[in-house]
Amino acid sequence: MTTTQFPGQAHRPLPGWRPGRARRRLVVMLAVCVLLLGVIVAKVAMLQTVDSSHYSSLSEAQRVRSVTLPGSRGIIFDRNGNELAISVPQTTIWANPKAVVDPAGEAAVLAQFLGIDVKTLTERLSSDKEFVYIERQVDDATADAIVKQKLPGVYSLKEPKRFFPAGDLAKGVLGATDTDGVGTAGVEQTYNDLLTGEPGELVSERDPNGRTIPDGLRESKPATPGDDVVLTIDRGIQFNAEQYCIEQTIATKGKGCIVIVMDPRSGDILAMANVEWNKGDKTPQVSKANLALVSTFEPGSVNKVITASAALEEGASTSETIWTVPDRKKVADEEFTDHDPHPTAKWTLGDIMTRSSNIGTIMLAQATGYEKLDSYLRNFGLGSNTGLNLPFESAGRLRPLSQWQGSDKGSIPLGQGVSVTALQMLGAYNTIANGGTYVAPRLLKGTIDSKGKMTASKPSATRTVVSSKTASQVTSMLAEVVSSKDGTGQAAAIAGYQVAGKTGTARIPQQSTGSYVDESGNAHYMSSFAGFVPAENPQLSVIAVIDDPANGFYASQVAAPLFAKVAQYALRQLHIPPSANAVAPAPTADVAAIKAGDRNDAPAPDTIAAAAVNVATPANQTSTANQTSTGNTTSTGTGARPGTTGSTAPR
Amino acid sequence: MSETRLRLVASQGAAAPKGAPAGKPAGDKRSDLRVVEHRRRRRPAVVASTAVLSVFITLFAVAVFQTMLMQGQQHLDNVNRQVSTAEAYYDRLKLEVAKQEAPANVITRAKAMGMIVPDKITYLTPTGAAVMEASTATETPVGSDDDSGLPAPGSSWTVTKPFVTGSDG
Repeated sequence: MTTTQFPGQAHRPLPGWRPGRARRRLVVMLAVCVLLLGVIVAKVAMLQTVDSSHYSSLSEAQRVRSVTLPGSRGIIFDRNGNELAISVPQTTIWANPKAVVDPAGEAAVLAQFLGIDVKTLTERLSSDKEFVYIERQVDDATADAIVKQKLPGVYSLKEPKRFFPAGDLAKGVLGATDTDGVGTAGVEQTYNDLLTGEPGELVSERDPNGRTIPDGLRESKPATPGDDVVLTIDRGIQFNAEQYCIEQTIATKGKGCIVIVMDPRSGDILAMANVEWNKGDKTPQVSKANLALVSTFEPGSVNKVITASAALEEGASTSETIWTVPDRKKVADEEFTDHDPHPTAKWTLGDIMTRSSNIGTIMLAQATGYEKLDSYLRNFGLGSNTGLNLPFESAGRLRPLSQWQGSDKGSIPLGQGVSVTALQMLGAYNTIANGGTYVAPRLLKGTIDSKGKMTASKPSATRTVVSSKTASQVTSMLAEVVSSKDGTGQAAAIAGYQVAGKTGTARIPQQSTGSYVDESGNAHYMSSFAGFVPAENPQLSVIAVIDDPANGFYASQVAAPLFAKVAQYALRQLHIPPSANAVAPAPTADVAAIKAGDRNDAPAPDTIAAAAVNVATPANQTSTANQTSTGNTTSTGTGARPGTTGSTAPR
Repeated sequence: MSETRLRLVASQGAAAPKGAPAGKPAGDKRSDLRVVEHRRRRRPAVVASTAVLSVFITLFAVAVFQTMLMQGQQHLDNVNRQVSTAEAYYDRLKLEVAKQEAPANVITRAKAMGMIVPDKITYLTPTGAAVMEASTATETPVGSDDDSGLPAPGSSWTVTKPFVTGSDG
């Protein structure tokens, strides 16, 4: 047998080499490879079919990030477009404790910037949660400083924070929001739904460094900002009203002050100033509470305008009717008096109003009928909310006629035994200013949506309360109160303008004694002046209320000048021209010029009688009706009301 | 082996003179010789290089494209960040302007500049007669922007001035 030998070919097979064994090895290797390949194919099949959703979701969790886009809270503007409340993004510092390396060390660093004690911060950084707030909405400088530290596990995010750029201006009206931007008081609470934006969402795929993966998933739902709210408030008038309120509270040593400025025609509230002393304050401050709505008081003589209107409207009296008015009168078991003793006088309705005669007013109420008087009181807005829907608004207290007790028939026509808010009382004067039509107060001028479209709010609801003739007659009487030499409201006069208004000096019921005097036998007063200007064409109405003034307490001394100051500024601000037929009066006196004692009708406080009275209490308090006198020797009745013998009368 | 055959065919073809009669001996069953064109051999190295180069260029292009895409996305992210920053800055400025315009701040700044709050404010108020005369003398022209209701300066002032009285507020 010939064997062909090629170059390079082994002459002999390798030792142990057998063709059969090699073949088997190849087969085994092939089988192993096929098996491995099969395993891989099977695994791939499993990944792509059975477990696909699970791994898909795990993968997405790694790549896909969802960011909530905050819907910014709307701005609150005044009527002229000035920002009263605005939201600005601030930095919130948060931490993932699981990513924090050294809780104590990082807490020590953070404490330097945040002013929070290290222990508290250490606890937060040692939490078993994955998200804890370290400090929310810190200022920019602090945030920058913390971010620069690059502390492991400590991060920052942007959150909107509410700011009130004008400081305390209209604080009680605007209210407040909590840290999450939810309105908790005032306008912020009432219009929270309007102001709150709708958050959006941005979903995108990101790499481990947080960078967006190009051409990856990206879904964006833009946030919708909340509507802006435009109030009827005028920032300038509001500021001046607050400043004058603070000045007058200091000057009169009062406990607080309320001033409301309105446009009687539309019911727009131009200013609502609330001032009070807070514990530890050296000067009175703008109150957090909207006292004009939540605080009730017995209005006193400012309420007589309702009694007079009812008498005229019901024909119980005309403006020319002569009334024979004594200086005292017994109603039920109590004797009421006029402020100043006088012989029985022949007075018209106008004279009764000008002199603020209690007895004359009681006679008018008797002639009108109490059922009708009750109806007018309610139609003028007493005893019910104004419809502003601001939180904690009080409806005041006006008991049903069936619950009027003996002396109520004498006191309620005078404005005692009934409690009102300042806004309710001004609403009654607006009714006269509007020719007998009640116009509900309005605080919301309109809203501006996210596209910038302004939607005006609906005009205020109206109702006719008295005829225009009656309103005109009452207006003339109110103008006399200010312009007449016998009028109690002379200090409310404004040069060049005819002012119509009425003073009210009402005793404040004392809860501690259940009467109108405190334990020491001293009376406390709520002094107010409500009116409108120009009387012939009312475009501005103002009520000024001083709570418990100690340096002079008559409304003619403390409230009327405040009215004049506020109204005078507002008239200029609103470009309201002077009255054509007004005689420019001599420069009006201010508080300093009218001193207690200048008026011969001002009794010294120590002569004030203690009175046992039916105290008008707020709705949430227990009535202390028919409590007996605590024993003041000057009281002649079985229990004297304000205006009764020996007491100072509401004026 | 085929190349060898081709070369052989070509050489045989070359051995036969052109134009020679195509006759062949009887009984020769081989097919006629013919001239075939010389085909250049493709060099495997060139082909491989081209393929590698193509793959490289393709991959490089993809890489460049991806890089450009990444750069574009980064630029987009940067722009978005800048927009957010600018919006926040705008909001802060808006707040700052509102703070500066606040009445309390204006008073504070004015005091800092040496101004004082007067004890009394004197308003100039035209009397009733002046108001009547001024309103007659200074009819606001149609189309005027002045909707204040106040007399226009200049012409009305000479009419109004004699009647103006000062009052303390």
